[in-house]
Amino acid sequence: CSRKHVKPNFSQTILIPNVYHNPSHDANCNLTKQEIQEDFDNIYEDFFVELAKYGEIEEMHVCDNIGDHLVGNIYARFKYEEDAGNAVESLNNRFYAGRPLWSELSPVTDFREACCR
Amino acid sequence: SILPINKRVRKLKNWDVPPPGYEDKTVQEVKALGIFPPPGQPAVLRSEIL
Repeated sequence: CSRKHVKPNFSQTILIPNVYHNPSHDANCNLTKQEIQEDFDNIYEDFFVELAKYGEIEEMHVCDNIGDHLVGNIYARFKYEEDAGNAVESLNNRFYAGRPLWSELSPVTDFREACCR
Repeated sequence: SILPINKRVRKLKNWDVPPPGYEDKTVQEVKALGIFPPPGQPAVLRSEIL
């Protein structure tokens, strides 16, 4: 992957990278499987409920990836492009858990076909 | 009997929590410091700013 992705001007899908950090990737993690799942579920809930304020969400994914350029990405596909655009603009001016969020529109529409070439 | 999503009680309260020590700064001001760079870009060390 050249990492030179084309960023669309309009899209139903937004990307918020670097949000979910799986505690089990830390070598000193002593949480149980169940606690790790709960931690994930809480973050999923916290994002889904908050993002739903911007408009109807059709699909949302929290990635458990560990690439150095792709960690804990959240993708959300809104029903309307307008809501996605407003969400990106607003999220770029918000903090989450002690960090500023970076958000952008993503060209992904079908998550099962999402693959970087 | 379905609870509207805006009435759902969440377990986390992480939204709009600024980094400790940067409570008086706006998001754009904090981003400009470079401690929390855009994904894929190396962070500026805290010691280089303070």
